[in-house]
Amino acid sequence: MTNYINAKSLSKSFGKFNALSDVSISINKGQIVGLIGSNGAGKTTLINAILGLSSFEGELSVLGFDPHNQRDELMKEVCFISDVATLPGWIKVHEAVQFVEGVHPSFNRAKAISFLEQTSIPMDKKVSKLSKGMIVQLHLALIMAIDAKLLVLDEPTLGLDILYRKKFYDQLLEDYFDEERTIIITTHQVDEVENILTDVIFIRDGKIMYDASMEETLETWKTLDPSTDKIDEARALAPYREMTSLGRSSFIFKGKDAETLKQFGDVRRLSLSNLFVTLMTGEE
Amino acid sequence: MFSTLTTINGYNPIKALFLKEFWDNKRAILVTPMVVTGLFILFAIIAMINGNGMMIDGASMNDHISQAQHMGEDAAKIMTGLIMVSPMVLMITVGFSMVFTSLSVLFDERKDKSILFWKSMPVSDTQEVLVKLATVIIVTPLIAIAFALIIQVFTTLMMGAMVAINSDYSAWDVVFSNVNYLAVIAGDLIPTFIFILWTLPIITWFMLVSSFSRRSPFLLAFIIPILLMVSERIFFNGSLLRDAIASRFTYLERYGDRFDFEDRSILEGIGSLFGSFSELSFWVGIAFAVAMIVGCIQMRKRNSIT
Repeated sequence: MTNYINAKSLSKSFGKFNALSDVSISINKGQIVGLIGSNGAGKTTLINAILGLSSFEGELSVLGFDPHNQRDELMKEVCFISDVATLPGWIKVHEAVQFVEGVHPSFNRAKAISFLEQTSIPMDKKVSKLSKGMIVQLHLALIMAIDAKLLVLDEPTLGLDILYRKKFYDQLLEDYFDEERTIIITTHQVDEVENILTDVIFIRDGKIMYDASMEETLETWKTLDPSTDKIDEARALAPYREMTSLGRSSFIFKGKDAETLKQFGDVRRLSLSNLFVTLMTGEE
Repeated sequence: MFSTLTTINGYNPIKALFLKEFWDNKRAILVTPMVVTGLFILFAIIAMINGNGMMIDGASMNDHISQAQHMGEDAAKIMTGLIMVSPMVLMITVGFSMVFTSLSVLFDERKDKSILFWKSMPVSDTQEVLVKLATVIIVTPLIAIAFALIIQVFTTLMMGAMVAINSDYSAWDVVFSNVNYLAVIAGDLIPTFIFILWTLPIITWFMLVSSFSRRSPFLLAFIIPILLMVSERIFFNGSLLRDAIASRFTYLERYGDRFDFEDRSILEGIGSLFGSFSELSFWVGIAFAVAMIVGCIQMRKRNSIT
């Protein structure tokens, strides 16, 4: 089975507020998907539905399971770290390792211990006595020692300093990811995940605004920094958006090939954060 | 042996869930009875040096012992009875512990958001809730009873010592050979669990409140029934709820005269508690408890965060 998540017209509302409306996505084996949106855009709601943490309307199948009613079965194949620190403060590090070993059939204790040995986390301390960075490292060590098909990370680096963040993603790629697994990362820190994603989904007001592979995205969207004498010619090519920063204009083009654009100036890739801003703020 | 019980090697979800509850509620389950037992022994030693021993039923232990020396047949009942009631303070404390534990088991995990971590593991809400229930109504009392036995062994030795020091009788004759040890153990186990079964609807109500309460489960758990009782009184001049709650204690009392010295042995007295199972009221309570637990499971399934 290569299709891991299949959602068709997924909706969820809280009272009159539509947190998700008519969301359809499909996520396959081997992808690293960035689910990107502002605060309150519906990222966590969508993740919660996928993880079986909340009910929903519409069709949703995750690894062939109905997440809400088969959460315990599903969790044998899925791991997640949510946006808040969820390891309880009273648990000691070695107790947390034991607990996961006890409840998870595909947990590899030796692996977890070896991850922990690379850190300075003491085994007999309580989680409440660890620093924020250590708690995330501990959680990641536990999760990475589980042989799961799908890993969901909801704002995993929130509140971490920049050194930890970098390490976090490096470790994820080096020690965990392979083509049998799928990772979903939600974040609004677009820049730090840009280089590791294979696919990207933008979400706003509970709707999917953009859903494409990174390859396709880089192919389609380009930034042109025109040389001063060719600005008007470049503008004549009908750029998708014109941006001005520090007195220099640059154009964002959709679906123009690089060779054509090169005649007018420097062509760069469009960063995800700029694409996000472009798609989310503008009118079609 | 203790270390194999408290460590996990390999996949064993039920054991892991029980250990998790034990680690989480260690203070209520283990530390509290340990401290009470320690204090009991400390005070008893001080009281013994003081001269009287413990006060039981308004008389000092010395008085009980001297009385028992002249009572012939009933001496065994008095001695056994003294040993049986000696852990009373402990058992009352553990009762309170159970109330507080049942009010927090499904609340604290939502408050500190650790429920999201537990839910990221392949265990069902049903398993979680049932293990939490069993922790409150089985593990907690069993550990308490282990400490009760320590108190009882200590009390027995203390009474033996007092007889040996203060009287001309032999400690063996008056105390050690006189105590019905089987009755002591049965008296620790049977009334405790029968009482828990009778109060099960109350315990599970506390758990249900802890599963939906957003702020203070303790307050809600008492205010809801109080308001209901008052409204019932005002609008219907009824007392159905009050009677139902009171019945948890009064029905059992009818069967519970375990120190009836007149015509029954202590063991018979304990055994008669089982008769309370024939009350319809008992089974209505059990049915309520089952409904509350189903409610807890549904709430846990839906409520991921407060």
